[in-house]
This record gives sequence, structure tokens and C-alpha cells, in this order.
Amino acid sequence: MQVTNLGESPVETVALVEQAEQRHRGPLLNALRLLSRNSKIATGLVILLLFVLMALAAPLLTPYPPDGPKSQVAHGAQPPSPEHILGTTSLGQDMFAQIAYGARVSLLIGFVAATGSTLLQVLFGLSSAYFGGLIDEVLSLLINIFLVLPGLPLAIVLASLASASGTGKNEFVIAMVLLFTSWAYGARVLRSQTLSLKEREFVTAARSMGEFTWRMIFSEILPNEIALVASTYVGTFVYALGAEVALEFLGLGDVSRASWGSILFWAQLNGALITGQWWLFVPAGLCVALVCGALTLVNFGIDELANPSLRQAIPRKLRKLLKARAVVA
Amino acid sequence: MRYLLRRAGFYLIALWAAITFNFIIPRLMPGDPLQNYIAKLRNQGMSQATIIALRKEFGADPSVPLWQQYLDYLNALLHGQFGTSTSEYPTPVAQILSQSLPWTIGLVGTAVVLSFLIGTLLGILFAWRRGSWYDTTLPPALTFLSAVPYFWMALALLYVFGMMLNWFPTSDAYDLSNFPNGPEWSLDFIGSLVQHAALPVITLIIGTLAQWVLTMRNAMVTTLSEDYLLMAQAKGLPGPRVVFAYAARNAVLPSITSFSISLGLVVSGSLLTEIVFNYPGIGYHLFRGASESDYALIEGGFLILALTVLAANFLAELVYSTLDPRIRHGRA
Amino acid sequence: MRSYLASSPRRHRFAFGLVSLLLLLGLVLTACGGGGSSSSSGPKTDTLNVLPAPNGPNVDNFNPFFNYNTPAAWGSQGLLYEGLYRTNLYSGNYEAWLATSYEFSSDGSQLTFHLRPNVKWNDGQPFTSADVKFTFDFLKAHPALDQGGVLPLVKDVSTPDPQTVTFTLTGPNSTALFYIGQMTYIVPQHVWSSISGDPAKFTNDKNPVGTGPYKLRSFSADLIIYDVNPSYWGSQPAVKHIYVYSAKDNTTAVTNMIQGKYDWMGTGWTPDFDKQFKSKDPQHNKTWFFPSNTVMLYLNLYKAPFNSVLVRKAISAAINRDNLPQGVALYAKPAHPTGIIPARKDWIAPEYQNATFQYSVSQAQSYLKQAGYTQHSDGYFYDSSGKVLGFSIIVPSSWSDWAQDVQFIVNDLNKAGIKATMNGVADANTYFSAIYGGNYEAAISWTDKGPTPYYPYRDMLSSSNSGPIGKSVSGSNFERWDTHSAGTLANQVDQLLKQYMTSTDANAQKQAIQGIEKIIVEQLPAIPLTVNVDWDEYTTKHWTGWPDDSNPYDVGPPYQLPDAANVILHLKPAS
Repeated sequence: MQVTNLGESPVETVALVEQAEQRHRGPLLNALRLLSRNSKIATGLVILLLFVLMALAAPLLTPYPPDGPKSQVAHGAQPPSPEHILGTTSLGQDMFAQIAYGARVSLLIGFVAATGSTLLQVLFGLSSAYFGGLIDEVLSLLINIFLVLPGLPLAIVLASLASASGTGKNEFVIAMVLLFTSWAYGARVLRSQTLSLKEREFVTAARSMGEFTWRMIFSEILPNEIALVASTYVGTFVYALGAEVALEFLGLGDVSRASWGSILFWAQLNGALITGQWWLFVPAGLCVALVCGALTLVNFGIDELANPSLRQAIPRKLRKLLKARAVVA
Repeated sequence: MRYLLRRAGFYLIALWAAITFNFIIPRLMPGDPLQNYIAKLRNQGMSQATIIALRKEFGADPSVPLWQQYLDYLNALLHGQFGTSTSEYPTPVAQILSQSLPWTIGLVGTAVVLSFLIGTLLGILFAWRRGSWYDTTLPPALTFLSAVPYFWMALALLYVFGMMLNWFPTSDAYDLSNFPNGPEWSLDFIGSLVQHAALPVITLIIGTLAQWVLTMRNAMVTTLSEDYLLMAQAKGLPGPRVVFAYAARNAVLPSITSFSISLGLVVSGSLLTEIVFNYPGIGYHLFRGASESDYALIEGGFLILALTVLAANFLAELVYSTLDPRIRHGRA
Repeated sequence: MRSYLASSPRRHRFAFGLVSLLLLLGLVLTACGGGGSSSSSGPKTDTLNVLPAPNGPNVDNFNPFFNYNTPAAWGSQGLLYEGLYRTNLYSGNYEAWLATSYEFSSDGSQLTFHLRPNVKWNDGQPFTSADVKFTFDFLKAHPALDQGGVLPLVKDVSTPDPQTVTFTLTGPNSTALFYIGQMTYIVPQHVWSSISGDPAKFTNDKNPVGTGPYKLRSFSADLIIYDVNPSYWGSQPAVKHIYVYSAKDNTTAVTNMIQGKYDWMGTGWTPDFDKQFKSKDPQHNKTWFFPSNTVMLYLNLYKAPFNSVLVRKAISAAINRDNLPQGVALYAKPAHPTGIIPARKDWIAPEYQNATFQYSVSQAQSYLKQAGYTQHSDGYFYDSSGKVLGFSIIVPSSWSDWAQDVQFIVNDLNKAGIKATMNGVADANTYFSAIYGGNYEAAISWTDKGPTPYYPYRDMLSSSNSGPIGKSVSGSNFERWDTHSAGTLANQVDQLLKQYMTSTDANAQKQAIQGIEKIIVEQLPAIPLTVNVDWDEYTTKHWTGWPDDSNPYDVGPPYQLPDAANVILHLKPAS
């Protein structure tokens, strides 16, 4: 089964392991210090924080409700004006209220799906690698099956069947669907990382001192994979947010509740592209892009922290040689 | 050889899992496709006898035990029967899918190949010119683009290039009114084909490029610092030759292994792209099946996609094993 | 080192890859350059480009027992196959088709058609009464094909001679003309008697043999092509070829219409599209939106408080219908209190001719007080047991015009003190199973179309269409109007429906309809809201002769078969 370990480049693994070892003594403290020092992570987190604040403070930011009969404040879709800074929807609802309240739904689904998925990843990845043997065989088979099955089509199948089955719980259903279809990649990465950590001295030392299995996994191995877990968490968040918006855009979510995906669904349904009502589809799309972009930035930062060689320029020795070659040629 | 057999075994199990998912999931959910079908007949008062006859027609008979249904299902699949579509009744699902699969494969295939080639070349370039302005700006920019939801990017491109500027067509796979008799082998037709595929393919490339660039760049960076490459340089081999013949050849391996994940992403992306651009592929029908609760069509569509992705992955592994001799000898 | 040496030819392969990549990119770029020119190569002069409706891919089914909504391919009914007597959905008149005349027996229990002479199937065989008899026998043998519900009407079919068919009905029934003449398409015995397999799955897509003005050339999910039938019994149509396209949603359809890809389509429209379509070429680009049926607020009569007529009246009075036609529902003018569409206004009783709905919150509240409700300090009305008067209105969220209507209605009802809420369901199937199964409180929905008000009334009010909650209703009797919910009033309506059905006398029929009107106005079994319009967008760039307000010879939407076939036969090339 070695082949299945090849998902990430060996480079990353080595660097991550080194990094992890350096930070073994005070991982959390170190991590925080590193985070604030890395400009990419800082920028990404600030953007993300702004959106979270917007979602939480939505009632303070706009006097208009996002849905319900009182939300109809204009006659049809009106372009942005001082009263409605992002214009109004085809149903005459304030677009900024839609965006602000919609952020709650979209971010919450992304958060729930990414968190649940990460828990699954850790559980499956770590136990698969740690226990080995039959458990590993079965779990990695499961991981690999989920990895090769196309995720979004599966999500469409699940979401459409679920939405045909009842009303009211669509957000929860979508979060579950995304959780279900997004855990495999991270689990595989964590599994191979754990496999290599398992043989490290500090683990074997702990094992020989008679520590319990689960305690070992959580207190010795997991802290050393924080960077990896964080990076897959962020990656899963990006996937979950994008896929959630996509499913809602297809009308598979609860389109009667304001969310970024349902805003885009309504824009498409009412022919915003034809009538040139750009304010119906640009703001929501930009928000998704900004949040995903911010998260990606965070991931870049984590990558840099974990793998310093990617930041540095080409080794000086080699460059000199190459320059010399170029001159001769 | 033992390795390949093992992999083939894995893909068979994955296939079985996909089929079984397909069988179980719809049956766990409530909802009644026939109800929807009857609702469509709203303009006529249909008799009870007709409804009973139709119910038989759709095989939605609750009196048959589940295991019997499962065996029937497997048997039908073995004979290439995916059931009858309810949204496009009485067209067999197999017929709908076989007509739309080539478009999806064409679209996804072109996008994957182009994206892989462009991305890998850029990755090589960025690694080679590490620290240059384009190496520091382009990879983050590309990554940002790939974080933008596919379908929204597709909508934006469609709006700007299809509707505002009128440079590209906004629907179909070729100009239907000029080629009413279907695809033909002519330069005009290929032109029409390329013209219609251009925007969807560009969307897919933009969305997936970053992944190839980054994987290739990171692998190249490591490979370039290996001693044997320094040695090659020192011996006086020309730069491009070092890059392409020695470094890239080894550095491309991680890209190929991440093929399986990427393929899943591209297929997912292509579904949405097809829907936005009205491209007559599987995604288009899957979407319609989803909105019409056409279980047979959804299941069949998913199964065919899964099958295609599994086959492509297997192919990628074959390629990989020829490129990396260590695999063949059972030691990675 | 060996492997490095061995790998040197690979460089050339890389170069090859690079070259082919550049070639491909070049191809893409040239294609972009050519983009503008090919979209201008529009439709050909003898071809009609139609998008019947944005309902997704064309369906490979030319079996004329299935209609376009079923869905089946567009055109098998009307273009390939024809019936005996056509009903003009605009005027409600009956027009000769494969039969030139008909007569009812004096008691109305026998219907005789005299067939058009010299009609040939498009394979050259003559069309005779045997084909008609065969068609009905075939239906009887395969009840799944009887999607129009014709079988219960017909007892026996006899053919006195090759040009005459006599239907013995199960009872006196003047509506048999509509069900037999319009709803049943005649198939050739010499072809259909030998089809193998299940006829409900017979897709009939290989050279279908019909009597209609067109023959099928080819099918694909994107494009169906019909060619004119040179041996058609009527005058030769000017339209020689019909290209039938498909589109998955309104946006695609409207975009293609604006870009000139279609001559004719039937797609939901909003006034915003006019700027892109009509304003661009006001001389050619036209729309004609004609009221075709009525949108109702259905209240589930099996549930309290809707069994109280005072509550129903209060709800009706509290709705400001003048507010509904705006935004995405601009064309939905307020409905007539009888629920009868403007084109059928001759059927409206004299005392209701000028009736309109009166919006009055105070009237609504006085109805509620009469019904024993009291208004509490929160503004809502409560019954004697202290339960608030409230209910939810179900609507599929994606049907934006109706969703907008419901929001306005909820607003109005809240203002009047009725705690209504909108239950927007994401999935239309949920909505369908709720309204058909009776598991809802209030719903916005349609009434059916027909040549006279009898047909929508029968579908909506016939107690045989109703049933206990859980049993699927037929027609549009979503409110479940029957003896359980309406007592003797339901018997009264059934009696009036029967009076219409069994009579061939126009006055007796009118009397029956007007009797039902009175019950609708006074009892409000369902609350009429607005008219529903048919979507008809067309351009006169290549074809003229479309029906419109100045020449309303038939309804206009392409999805309305067989009327659409009649429209096509009227088209003339633009000079």
C-alpha cells in the first residue's frame, strides 16, 4: 500500500517533521508567535475576522431584515443607491442585508463542515496509521475510495435526495453532505504523516515508558501535526464554502433563506446576467472569493512556516554555477 | 505485475462501493419520483388505473424485498441498464448518459491536459527563476483565482465575454443551426467546437492551474538542489537540458500522483461549468435530474462519472509506474 | 547514469508538447476572432427556429399519447399526429381537423364524426375510420397510455363506413367532443398494430407515420428537426423546416432569443428583459402575453379555520390584489371574482360582469369578528379558545413570481391581523406532494385551461377529484371541495357540472356555469388572485403572421400544442 502515501511531496513531509520537532516543547505558544509574525497569515486572518464580525453584527449594520415579508423594501431590483448601498434584489430586498445575514449561513456551514471533517480526518488518519495492520488496511481502503469518488457529484446526489425528503433542515443537511465528501484527502495526508512520526524517537520513547495508546496519539503525535492539521482544516474550509455556495446556486439548499449561494441562485434565476444587474451577482461572488482567498493566504503562511525552504531563493551555490554556465553558453 | 493487480483490485472495490452507495442512498431518503411525474400531467384528469399502471412501470414497488432489489439492480447494471429516466421518460438513462459523456470527457480531458501542461511548464519556470518578480507574484495570484468558486468565475466570464463583448457563444457545444445534422469532420465544425469549448475550458484551466504550478514548483525547487543536478551543471550540460531532462523528469512525479485528486476537482468543476455554459455534458443532465428528482438519472450520472474518474486514475497509475521504476519493483 | 542517457529523447517530446500546446492556443484565439461572424449567420429563410419552453433537453419520445408536459418531444402532437376536432384555446371554438363535421345524438350519448376524405398517412396509406377505432381500442388495451382520461367516457366505437366513426358514450356527455376530438391523437393501424414491446415505452422516433403537416427528420437532445410533409391534406405550409431547440433555464433561453437564435419561444419574462429584446429591434421583436388561466390561493378546506366561509372571505378581502402585478409578476393582473379569464367573459353572469375584488381591511376584520374572532393587543385575531388565527402559505421558492405574490399576500394578511407566514420550499416536489396529498394549510397554485370555464371548474370543484387527506387529488381540487368539506354545496356543484356535461344546449350550459360562478363568488372554495399569462416571445424578422391583439386567431405560446401547430400553418415569410 505504499503508493497511497504519495499524496504530498516528500519534501513537505520532511520539512514538516523537522518543524514539528523544533516546536515540540511549546507548540501552542510557538505557533501563536509564528502566526503573528507571518504577514500572510495575519492578513488572511484579519480579512476572515472582518467577515465574521459582519455576520455577527448584521443587525447593527443594516436596518433591513434579510427575509420574511418585512424584507421587501423596494420595487424590484434597484441599482446601488445611498439608501441601499448594494442595491436591492429582484424581490426588492436590501442586498447588503442579504450579504451580511447571508454570511452567517455561509460561514456557519463552512465552519461546521470543516470542523467536523477535520475531526474525522484526525480520527481516521491517526488511528489508521497508529494501529496499522487490519485496521489500517480497512481504513485506508475507505479513505482511498472516498478520495477517488468525485466529491461534488456525490454531494449533488446526496443534497438533492435530501432536499427532496423534507424542508427546514437544509443547512444542516448541506453541512453534513460536505463533511461526508471532504474528509478523505486530509485523512490520507495525516495518515502518512503519522506513519513517519510513529517511528520517531520521542514516540518510541513514550511508548516504551508505557503510555496508553490514545494518550500517545493525542499528547505526543497530534501536537506535532498541528501545522498539517491547520493547513488541511483551512483547505477543507475553502472546499466546503465553495461547494456549499455551488450547491445552493444549483437550488439544492434552502433558497428561501439568505445566504451567499442563494443570492447567486436568485440572480441566475431572474436573469441578472441578461439585464446587466451586476449588483445581484457580483457582491456575493466577491465575498466568497475574498473569504476563500483569505483562507488560501493563511494556508500559504502555514506552508511557509512549516517549510522554510519554499520561501528562500534558489541556493546560492547552484545559482552561481548556473550563471557561469549561461555566460559560457 | 503484482502491484498492478493489487491496484486493479482496489479500483474494483471502489467501483463496488460506488455502486452500492448508489443503491442504498436513494432508498434511505423519502420522496416519490412518481408523484412528481403525476404532477406534470396536471392538465389532464388522469384515471386511477393509469396511475397504477405507471407505478408498475417505474418499478417503485415496495413489496419487493430490498436484497432482491439489490440483486436486480446489480444484474441490470451488468447489462448496461441504468433504468428509465422519469424526467425524460421513457428514454433509458444509459442513452442519455452515452450521448452526453463524450462532451464531458472532451471538455474535462482538454482542460486537464492543457492545465497540466501549462501549469507544469509555469512551475518549472517559476522554480528555475525562483525569487523573480513573476515567481513571487503569480503563484499567489493563481491560487487566489483557484479559490474563487468555479461557477461564479464561469458566470463572470460568460457575462463579460459572452454577453457584453459577444466574443464567445453562450450555450451549446457547437453551432446547432449551422450543423443541424450533428457533428461532422470538417474544419468549420472543429472551429465551431473550439469556439464553444473555449470559455468553459479557460474557466477550468484558471481554476486548476495553481495546483499544477505549485506542486511542480515545489518539487522542482527541491530537485534542483539535489547534488546530482549540481553535478550535471558542473559537468557543463546546458541549462534547459538540466531542467527538462533531469530535474523536471523527477520533479513531475508528485504532480502525477496528485492527478487523482485533481481529476475529481476538475470533474466537479466541469459539472458546474457545463451548467453555466449550457454545455450538453453529464453535469447538465445531472443538474436536471437533481431538480426533477429523477433518481435513475442522478444515480446513473454519478456512477458514470465515478467510473470515468476511476478509469482515469488507473491510467494515471499505469503511467506513473512506467515513469517511476521503484513502484514496479514494489518499493516506493 | 544509464537512465539519464536513456532519457535524452524526452526533451524532443517536451518540445513537441510545447508546439502542440501553442497550436491549440492559436486555434482557440482564431476561434475567438471568428466568434462575431458565425453568430450572425442566422436562420435560413425556409426554417423556423423554435424553443417551446426552457424545460431542459429534448425528450426522445414521439409517442403521441404523451404530451409535451409529460414530457414528450415537442411536436408529435399537432405536427406529426392530429386529432379529429381541434379546440381553439383562444376563442374556445371547435374547428374541423381530421373530421370535417360532427353530431351528437339527440340525447347526447352518441357522438359521430365524419372524417375528412382523401387524407393519407405520410407513408402513402389512406386514413380511414378503422384507424380511429384502432386508436381507441389500443388505449383500452393499454390504459397507461390514457393520460387524458378519455377511456371512462367511451363505451364503444363503431365504424359504419370508412368515413364515419360513432362513439357510444357511457352517458350523455357534451365534453366528449373536447376529450375525444382534441385530446386523442389518431395513430395508424397498419403501423401501430405491429409494434413490439410495451407501447408506453414506444418512443416512435424512427420515421413516425402520422397525418400531420410535418415529418420527423432527426432527433437529438439539443435539436429536433421537422421537415414539411409534401403530401399533407391541407395547404402546404410556408415553413419548410422546423428546428426545435432546448434550453435548461430562462437565462439561457432569453439570451439566445436576444441573440437572434430563435424566431419563437415561450419563456417566463420580466419587464427588465424588454430593454434587451424589444428595445433593440422594436420593429421585429415582439411579445404577446395573454391571460390563459387563473392563479388561486387554495385553502385546505379539510382543516380549520378554512372550513369557515367567513374566514375565507376575510382572507380574500384582506389581500390587495392591485399590488401583486409588479416586479417579476408584472403581467399578472388581478383576477375576476369568478376566476374566469377575460377571453371567456361571455360566460360570466350579468350580475358579475363588472364585479371586482374590493380590498378592505375593515371589511376583513368585520368578517373575522362575525366569525367569533377577537383582536388582541398584538394586532392579531384569536379564536375563543385563545388560538391565534395563523397559517402558512406554501410555494416553491424558485417560482419567483409566485414567491413574490405570496410575500405581498403575507404582508397584507399580517396588516389585517391574520398571522400568515410564507412556507417557501426549495424543492418543487415537496410542494407538489403537499398540495396533491393535502398536507398543507394554504397554497398558491393554478387552475387548468380549457375551451370553456367548465374545464377549469370541473378540475377544481368536482367532488370526484377530491378525497380524504393523504389520498392524491386529481385535477386541481387542491382545496378538497367535496361533501365532507362543503356539504350540500358540493352536491350542488356536482349537479351543475353534470348539467353542463349532459347538455348540448348552449343556454343550459351557460346556466350551469353561472350557477357555479355564484358559489365561487359567495363561498370562495378557493380565492382567485391574479390571471396567469401564457409566454409568447417572437420576432417578425423572418416570419410574419403571428397571433397578437390585432389578430388573435389562436393562443400564441409555442408550448401550447396543438394550437402552436395552427400558428405555424399561419406563418408567412417576411418579405
